[in-house]
Amino acid sequence: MNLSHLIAQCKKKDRRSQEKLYRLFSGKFFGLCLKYSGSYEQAKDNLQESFIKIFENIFQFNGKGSFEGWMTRIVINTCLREYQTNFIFQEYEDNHIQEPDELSLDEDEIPAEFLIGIIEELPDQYRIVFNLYVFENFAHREIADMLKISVGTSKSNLARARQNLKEKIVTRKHELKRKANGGK
Amino acid sequence: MEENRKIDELFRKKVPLKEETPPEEVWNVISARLSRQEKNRRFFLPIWYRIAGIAAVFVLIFTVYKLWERPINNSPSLENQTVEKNDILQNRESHPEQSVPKKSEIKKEQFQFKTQTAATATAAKSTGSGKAKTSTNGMTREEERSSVSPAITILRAKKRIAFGSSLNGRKADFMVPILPKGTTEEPVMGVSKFETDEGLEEITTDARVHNKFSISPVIAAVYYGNFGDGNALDNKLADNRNSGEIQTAYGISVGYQVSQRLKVRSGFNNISLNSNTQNVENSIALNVKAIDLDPAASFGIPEGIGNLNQHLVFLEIPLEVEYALVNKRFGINIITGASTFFLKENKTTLISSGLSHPLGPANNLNKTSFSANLGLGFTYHFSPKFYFTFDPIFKYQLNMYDNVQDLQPYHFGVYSGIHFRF
Repeated sequence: MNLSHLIAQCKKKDRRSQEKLYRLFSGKFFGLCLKYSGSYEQAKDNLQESFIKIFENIFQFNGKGSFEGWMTRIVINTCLREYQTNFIFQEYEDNHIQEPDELSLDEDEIPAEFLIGIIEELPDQYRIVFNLYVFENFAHREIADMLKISVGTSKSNLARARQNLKEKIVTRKHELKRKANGGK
Repeated sequence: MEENRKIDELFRKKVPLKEETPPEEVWNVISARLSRQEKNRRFFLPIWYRIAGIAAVFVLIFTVYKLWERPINNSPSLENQTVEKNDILQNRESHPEQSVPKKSEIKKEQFQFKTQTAATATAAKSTGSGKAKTSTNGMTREEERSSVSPAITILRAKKRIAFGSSLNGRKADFMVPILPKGTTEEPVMGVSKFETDEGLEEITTDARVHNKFSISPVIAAVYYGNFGDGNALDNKLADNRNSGEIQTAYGISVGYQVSQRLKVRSGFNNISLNSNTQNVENSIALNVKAIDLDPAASFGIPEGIGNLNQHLVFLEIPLEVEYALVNKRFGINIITGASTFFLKENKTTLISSGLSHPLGPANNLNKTSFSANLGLGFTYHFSPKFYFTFDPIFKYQLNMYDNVQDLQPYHFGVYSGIHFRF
């Protein structure tokens, strides 16, 4: 059964097709929910809500564009709803943003687990904007719409996220150097 | 900028796409909710359609029954019935030269009449030798029975008019005496009481008194408006032009005749209300606080200007009093009362660049609200049991919205229906 046929069956509210679609994408979308939710339980709830909305609104998908992209946006928007009401994004002017200093990044030296860890340590407003921009490839205008913030705030939060991450990478690099020198 | 790009690339390459299988209970919950939603939709949406359908079937059965019982044709079907004549209400003749008996006193006699069950009477000549006779003219009862009374006699047995009813065990309303032997002419038939305004008023009055209940399917054109200066969705849009649309309402009306002029009525209506706020910037529409924006809503909406449409559907249960100012074939009533509204559907849509973008429900509407109603009713009686109504009614909404400033919503509808008394 190809995806178009699956979508057509889901539009007819065929339960077996709906389950098939769920099984096909639930792994990826649960990963997304874990990334954008505050907790594991919240991620489960967000996944449930997302698929309910996907099945309720699937009749609106007219075949133009990527279906997976359409579903991804529903999932992310569902996860971000809690941040729309509970969050206060500080409004910054663009001219407050400092460009990061030059940094030599040797990718082999930096393990993936470290990078995942420092992302998770970011304050929520920086982490969410960073993830949406870097991993989901949303533009600032789209991020601003989703989070009900201004484009300027989106840009400044991204810049601060990058600054924060870079500082931690540099700190780690210096610590490793110190340890290496101290061992000698 | 180059540094930014480097940082972004580093994370994209090194951080893997996280996938994790959710627990099985997640699908169980999704499946159960989908089943529940489909069940609710199947139950609630058509339930009042079913009730309306059942009521319409009853009305149809009664209509067919009444029409079948009193066939409209020029050849009256005759039935032999023995009835007890208690009163003679009115006699008419088609030939003025023949004597018309006046209203006689109550007599108790046994007559055997050929009875007619036609809905309308036709005039015909009779050259019967007999004239309308009463006991005062000296004729014997036998002579009376055998003589022809060319006039129509409409009997009002025991002050009840069984208009169009079966004659089995009941009193006839049209009676024609047996023609004497040798008479080949059709019996004289006069004008039915129904065909005169005075007669209809009398019959209708009696029908109103003895058939107190009425039922009708109702349809209406409804306009939704606002007397205030505010906007239901966001007061920032107060200066934008806001216009209502004419939508339809339909339902069932039931009534109970308390007295000749006073009637209490209720029922239920499905009523749609639409309003448009024009020239709204799309970005503002996506940030209206009174709308619970759907997660998928903001995608694909370009920058620009559009119209913000609000579509509401209510189940209305009115409770009104109707007082007849004019009580004739054409009637005029004054109607006042109140209605309870239960919110069924609540949608806002942004219409921009020719496309409709559903946004989500408004969150400032009360699920239950009330209105004060005032209007006029115009009626036309086809028969004592069937009448048409045309009711323009104004309904002022009392608490449709929750805590919205400068908003005085109302709707004005013209409700019409064909009523059946029973």
